[in-house]
Amino acid sequence: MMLNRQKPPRSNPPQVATNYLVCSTLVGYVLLLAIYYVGRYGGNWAELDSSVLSKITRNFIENRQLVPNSGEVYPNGYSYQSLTTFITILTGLAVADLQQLVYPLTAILAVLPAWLLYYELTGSLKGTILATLLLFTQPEFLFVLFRSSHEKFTRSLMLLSLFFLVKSFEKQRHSGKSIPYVILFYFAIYTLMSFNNLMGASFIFALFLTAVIAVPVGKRGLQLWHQALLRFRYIVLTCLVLAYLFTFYIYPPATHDLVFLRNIWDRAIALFLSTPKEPDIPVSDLIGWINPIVYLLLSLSTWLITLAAFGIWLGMGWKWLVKQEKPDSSVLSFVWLLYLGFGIQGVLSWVADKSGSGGHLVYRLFPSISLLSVALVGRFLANWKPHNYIRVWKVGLAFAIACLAFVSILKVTNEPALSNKWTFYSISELAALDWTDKTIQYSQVWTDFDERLSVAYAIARGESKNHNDFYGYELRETITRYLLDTSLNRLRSKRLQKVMPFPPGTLLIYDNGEAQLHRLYPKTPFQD
Amino acid sequence: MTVQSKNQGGQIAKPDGKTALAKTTILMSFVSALMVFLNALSGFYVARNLIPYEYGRLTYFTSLFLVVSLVFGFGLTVSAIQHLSRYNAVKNYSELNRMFYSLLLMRLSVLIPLLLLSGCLSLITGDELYFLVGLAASLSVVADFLCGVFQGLQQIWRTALLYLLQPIAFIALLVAGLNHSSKSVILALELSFGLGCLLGILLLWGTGIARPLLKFFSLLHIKDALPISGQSYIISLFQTLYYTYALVWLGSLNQYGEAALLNIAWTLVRILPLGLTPLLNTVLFPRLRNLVISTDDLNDRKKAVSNLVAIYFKGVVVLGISVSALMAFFPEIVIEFFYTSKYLATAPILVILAPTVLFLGLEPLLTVTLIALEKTMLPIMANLLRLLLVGVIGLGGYMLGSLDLNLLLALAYLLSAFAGTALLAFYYFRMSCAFHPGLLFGFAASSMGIAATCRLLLPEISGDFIVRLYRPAVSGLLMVGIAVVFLRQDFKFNFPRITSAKKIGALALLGLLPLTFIAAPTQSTALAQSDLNCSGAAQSPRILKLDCLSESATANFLITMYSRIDLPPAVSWEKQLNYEDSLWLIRVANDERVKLALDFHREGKMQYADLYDDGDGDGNVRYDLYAGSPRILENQGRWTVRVTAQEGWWKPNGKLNFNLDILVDGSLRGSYGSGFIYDYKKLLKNDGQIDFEIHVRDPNNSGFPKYEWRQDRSPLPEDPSISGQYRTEINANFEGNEAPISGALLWPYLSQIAGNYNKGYNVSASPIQVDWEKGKIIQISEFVASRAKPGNFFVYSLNRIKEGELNSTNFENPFAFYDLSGVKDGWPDTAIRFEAALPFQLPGDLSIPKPINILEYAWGKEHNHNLTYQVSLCGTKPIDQIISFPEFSIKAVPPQKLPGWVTGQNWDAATFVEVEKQPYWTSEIIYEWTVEQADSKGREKVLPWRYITGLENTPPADAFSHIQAGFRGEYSLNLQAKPYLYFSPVDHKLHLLKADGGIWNLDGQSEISYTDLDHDGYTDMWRYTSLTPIDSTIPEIRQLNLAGDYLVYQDGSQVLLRKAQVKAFSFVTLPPTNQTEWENLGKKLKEQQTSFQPTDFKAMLNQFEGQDILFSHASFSDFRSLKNGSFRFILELREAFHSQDKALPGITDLKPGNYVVEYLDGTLRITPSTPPVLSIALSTQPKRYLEQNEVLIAINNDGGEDITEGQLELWVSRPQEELRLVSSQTISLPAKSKISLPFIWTPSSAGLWLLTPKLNYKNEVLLGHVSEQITVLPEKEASSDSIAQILWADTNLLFVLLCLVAIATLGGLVFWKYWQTSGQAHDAE
Repeated sequence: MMLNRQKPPRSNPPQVATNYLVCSTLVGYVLLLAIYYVGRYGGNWAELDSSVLSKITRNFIENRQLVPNSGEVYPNGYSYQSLTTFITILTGLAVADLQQLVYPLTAILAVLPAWLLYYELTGSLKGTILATLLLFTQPEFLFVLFRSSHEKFTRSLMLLSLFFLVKSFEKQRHSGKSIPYVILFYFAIYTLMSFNNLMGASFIFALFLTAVIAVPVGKRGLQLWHQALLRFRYIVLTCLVLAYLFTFYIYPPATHDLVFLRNIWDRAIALFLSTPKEPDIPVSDLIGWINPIVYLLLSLSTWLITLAAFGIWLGMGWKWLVKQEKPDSSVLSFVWLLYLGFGIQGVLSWVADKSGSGGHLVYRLFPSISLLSVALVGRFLANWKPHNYIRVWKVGLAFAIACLAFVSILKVTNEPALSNKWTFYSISELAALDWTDKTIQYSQVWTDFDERLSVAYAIARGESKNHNDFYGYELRETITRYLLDTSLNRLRSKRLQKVMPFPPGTLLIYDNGEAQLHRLYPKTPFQD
Repeated sequence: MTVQSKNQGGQIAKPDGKTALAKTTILMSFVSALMVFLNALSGFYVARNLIPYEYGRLTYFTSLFLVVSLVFGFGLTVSAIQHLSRYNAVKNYSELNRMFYSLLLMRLSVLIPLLLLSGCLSLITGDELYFLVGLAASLSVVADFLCGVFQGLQQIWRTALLYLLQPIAFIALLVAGLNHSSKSVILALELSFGLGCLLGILLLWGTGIARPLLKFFSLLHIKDALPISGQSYIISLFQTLYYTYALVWLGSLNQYGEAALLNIAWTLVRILPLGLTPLLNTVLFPRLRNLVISTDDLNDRKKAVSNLVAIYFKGVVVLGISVSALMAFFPEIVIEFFYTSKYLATAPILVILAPTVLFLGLEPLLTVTLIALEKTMLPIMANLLRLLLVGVIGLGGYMLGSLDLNLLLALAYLLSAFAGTALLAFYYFRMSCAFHPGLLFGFAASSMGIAATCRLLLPEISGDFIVRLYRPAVSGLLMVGIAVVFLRQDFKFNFPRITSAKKIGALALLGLLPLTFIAAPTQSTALAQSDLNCSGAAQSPRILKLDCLSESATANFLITMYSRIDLPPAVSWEKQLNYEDSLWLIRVANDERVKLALDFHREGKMQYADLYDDGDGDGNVRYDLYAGSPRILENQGRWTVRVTAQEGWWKPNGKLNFNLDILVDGSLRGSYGSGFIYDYKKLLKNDGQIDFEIHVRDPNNSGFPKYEWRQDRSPLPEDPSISGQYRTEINANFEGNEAPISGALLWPYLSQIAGNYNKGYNVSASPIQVDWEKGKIIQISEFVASRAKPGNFFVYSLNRIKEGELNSTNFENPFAFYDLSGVKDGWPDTAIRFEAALPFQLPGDLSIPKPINILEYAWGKEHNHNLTYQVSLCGTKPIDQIISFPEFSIKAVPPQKLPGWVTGQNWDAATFVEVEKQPYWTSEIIYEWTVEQADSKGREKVLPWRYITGLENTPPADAFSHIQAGFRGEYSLNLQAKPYLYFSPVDHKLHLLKADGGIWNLDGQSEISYTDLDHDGYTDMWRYTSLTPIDSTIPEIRQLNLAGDYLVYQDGSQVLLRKAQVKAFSFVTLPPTNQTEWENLGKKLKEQQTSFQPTDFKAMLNQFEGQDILFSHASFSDFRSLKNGSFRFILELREAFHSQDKALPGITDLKPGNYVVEYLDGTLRITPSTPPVLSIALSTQPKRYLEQNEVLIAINNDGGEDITEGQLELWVSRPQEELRLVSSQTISLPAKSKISLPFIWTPSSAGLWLLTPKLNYKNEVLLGHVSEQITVLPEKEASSDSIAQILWADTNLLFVLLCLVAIATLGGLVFWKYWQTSGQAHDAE
């Protein structure tokens, strides 16, 4: 019991050592995952959000302005590009190297906040370890952590802010002690906003929902920190004010996306329910995998944890609200409430999705809900003691976790043997694109059946120097004169059963063995 | 109906059980809700369909209606309910009848003075609406009374029916008869109440009310009845007075526009309170009454009442805050949603009124509660206070000179709503001792603080500023409010008991209210009348009054000039006119409203004229007199147009100054494009934001403007790819010979009349033009003519020009006009329109890195103000020339060089059109048959934007398959040359050299087509087709071909071959670029004029002499020009044909049938024709799966006849499967020739395939039996191994495997280690 626990004796080195050891093990585990993420394709990976932020960062470096006068401006925050610029200047690393090789490794930064938070939420070292471990078997969470976008920081900040919040509640009886946590919480929230205001607002909205439901639900049997929850409302209100100030005053580009949305409904959804668009979350795309069974297997971890968490949550609710049993601790009640708050947000997102106002909002919320799901499951596992066959259970569960870790990393890396959405490219393909950009200008160049190569070029090289447009998906027949043919494209053609869009009899103008550039013959006097 | 009846909704329930009460409650809740809905609906409908002025008028009269119907209602309805209910309960029908008729007679008797009063008012004011309103009010109180009777008699369904009939009838009548006037609405209201009365009387049947007998009338009964309803009556009366006070005040000042705006906002903020009324009256009130009269313990009852009220209170607070926030932050959206954008001007008022939603929502709750607690004096006090506050604040602010009465009244309502609610809450809380008064006072005090601040600032600053200040303040307040709700702290206010509030309030009300009616501004209406154009005299040392009759004698302007310096005495009025420091108020005769205010003032060398027009739709520019001088109040004192001139309106040389800078802030047309690209009336507002900048320049001070440029600053996106307005417009006349200004109203730039935006020929109307009836500046027309002057040009650019820079302008860049004839009558005879699209500026997926130039070059054959010919061209060459102005320059070909530049260039494609049916006048160019023609899919500019850019492979010939009647056009889709024209000696017409084809639509029924069969650049085939009205299915055809040494003619009855030497052209020319060329071309055309009809091909043939070969009853087809003057055609000889002997070898042996006639190597031959004989071959090379494969089909025609427009198809199938069409192509295959055509085929699987070509020709399948079997190979690199190979190529398989194993193992191990083994308590941090 967290609230009633006694202060530990000051000298307890073996326990502390265990904590450090376990925590280090988990850091090592995540580091291993990250190394695999980078090494799987020899660093030659790319995806849309990372490439967009690479372009934005390059522009940021070039202009040296928080809101660059020219070029693309990131409308949702400034911290990611500022931080990346700082690191590139400090280390001399190229943006591409940083994005593709170094940033995935920084996923380990999320371990400590997760550890701290789950330490508070689960109430035991065992629960902390299990919850943290489970968190890093969640492919949706891992994916956003590994790729090089603001999420690797914003997710950590979410964990951190929740930690500060819970700590401040715990210290409610000693306002002097809780104040530093409250201040730290605001810092964390502001930093979160500065990385991405939409994600920050969405997070705050979930807290707001929690604060709202705490009033009626709290009266029905939950053991909550009474004074702290009263204060929680002010905290949420302050955060809303913070979000408002950031969006409308501190970082003016943040309003850009909002003002052009067609109505209040859309604006509200954009601000409170959505997080930035993430088109490449692998879980969202059933046809992105070679068959549904593979998809189900790879998503097993997500479904198992989600269903288990929901079941545990329901059980808690039944016990406390219906059977009127007393919750084990206030923090557990709070986790239960938070889960409900995020759940309501998920339901609202689902409604918004159905009404056509959002765009896969539920999927975008999944990583946030995972944060709490693993806490519930981790705590449950930590406290669960099977009466019989404990060893069998132990072996079985350990094996299951091993399998989940295995399939999760396959999913996170979009393992091409299983995935139809390929996120890697070959050096030869990049070389062909380099040659193309050096040789031609102001041209449309078809590169692949999706954005694979266009984002690869964007993350590795940035904007086209000669104003070429490297694009994917459907061939823009009327304006495209150049087409890239590569071995990987041929394989994708086979995998996707899509016809290579080359008309017969094109002019081959470049060939490096692996990649060829074709040019269409003119058919009218006005085509060159 | 009226308020008092609804307030007593709970009393209609039977006291005999909860079921009856529940049923009644449900029914009446439904009825009340429906009534509220219907009333709101009718209100919205009326507001949306009337213009603001009429709506304002209606607002005034309906407010009067409400007051009158309430005043004369005397609260008798409530009496009826109570007394009839009582008698009905004890079944004393005798007394019941006596009471009914007593009250009815009382009701009818008090209506007589009402009708008399309203009739007199109508007679005095001449406005019949007063009487109509009186009548409507009379009917309404009778209908309301009848409702009360049914309620008293427990006739619930009859009550419901009667309640609902009126609003339904009202809406139906509105929809059926609303004719955009307030009168029609009042009539509909009147009629609907009339119907209500009628129905009420009919429904009395069978209710126990006996026939009317005078003996039933009893004064005693009336005396008993009246006091019961007294307090409710007073509450309702105060409430209604409070609601309508400001509207009646504004209406009495004839400020109907303002009344409309205030009413819109006021209605919106009352929607929520009105919506809650049924809930309060039918649900809350009965429950409260039950609690109050129950026999339980007093403390328990108090507690129960408090809890019940508290629940409602919280609900109303949450709703009120939400709606307040919505209205405070999104007023425009709310207004537009309910009332359309025409009332958007009410947004600032709505923002201020927004917090009243909360107070107005709470007030009925507290009132109902207090009535239920039998504390009726408290609501009376509260309403009195509210009424008092509106009166004091409104009147006080007005007398202090508030700039905006509407804003002031909004603040008054806000404060009064707060104060009234606060008073009620105070008393309620004091009584109940169980609620949190701080909740309310927290809100209210803060809001009042903001409101008071705004009130103090109001006379000095604009409404916009208030709104800007107010909105964040309100948002802050709402946050605080939410915080207070969460706090739930019980603020312990200790308010002193106010004992004398009633007296003070009543006295103040009586004293102040009448003042509001005598505070109307005094406006001078006395003006001297005189005749002639202008006459006038000084009225005081600083006031000059003029009476001016317009030049057309259609308008009479009354101008009052308030000079800021003393006028020179003893001089004529002309010399007293002050254009430097004075304010002019301009009225028109028979209308006392000021239509325009002109404020002349000077700062240093800069001379300003600020023009103020009507902003609220009441046709009046509001002002007041401050220290004897007018002060403009309209639009919160903002000008609509500001004209700035350096050194005054006249130059020292006495010439008019045309170096002007004009700023526009308002809904008027300030540029050419704003007249049609967007709706400036809706988009532009007088809001402190500049909408147009207009700069006029006369560098030499010649007294004539030489150029002007206008910057459209309307609130539209600045990015040209998003919004297509002309951001900059330039008009220029470098010769400086604009026509002198005419039609000015004293000040030269202000026009007496409203004309066109574009200047006319040889005339310059004063450019600032006003709708004098509405008092609205409607446009600032051209200073420099864009079109109506030879030598002028204009540029309408989507890109904005920046002063001081060289700009890349686009769209019409330039559009220039010329007088090539040199007649100099002020009319052009030549126009060149240059449409430029810059690289990457074509829309959508058409973006290409080249500029696209489109050009129309039109000229008249004679200088008769009509255009005759036009060459339209397109190309992709960049412009390398510059037009310079002192302030900026643009990339464009200077107009003086433009004709030569056009004719000196090679162009990619061209069209040529001649207007055959004259006269044809346009102010610009010939709009038909340009290169911008849309294709059959409706895609505009398909030739310049899609084909010559290389984006499309197919020449867009279908865009040139039809032309308007009376026009003759030709086109060349691949010109690659200068736009040469040639004159044909055959038809004596100008033609486009290298035309691909052409068409002349003679009259919509017949046409002549032109073809160049031998592709030498000259037309050699003329074909006339006419659909006769008698049998339109068989066209009449004539054809003339010129080939080699022959002219070949047919007209359906004969074929004639004439051997003659005919030149392809008489002369070749380019479009004229100067006077000499224009005159020479005209001369040549005149010389070559002929008299034959254009359809008379025989006459065209007969111009040339030669040896003939004639076949009668014959026709020919498939005419083909071959090399070196050779030709070939199929001759069809019908039965009874006749031919000349020995003209051709073997001609005597001919029999009816088809023959091939060939002219080869100087010899004409005729041989029997044979049908097409086809052979086919397919490429059989293996194809590949998942690729686009080419299948070549080669066809030979060894027959004697051509195949034209045959349909060649490729069909494919797997063995034993059905054929599937791949694609088809239209082909022409001449006799004795072969072609080879590629088809693209994408096999759906690997393996054996059967390919079958088919040729459909004249509804017959000529080929289709030939099939080829081919093999489709699997895709390249198609094995699964190759995927693995590539995947592992860049990475180490060992690394992958090791990592995966390590990850799984580590994950499993951590779990193994820490599950159920080492879990300690949460004991360390």
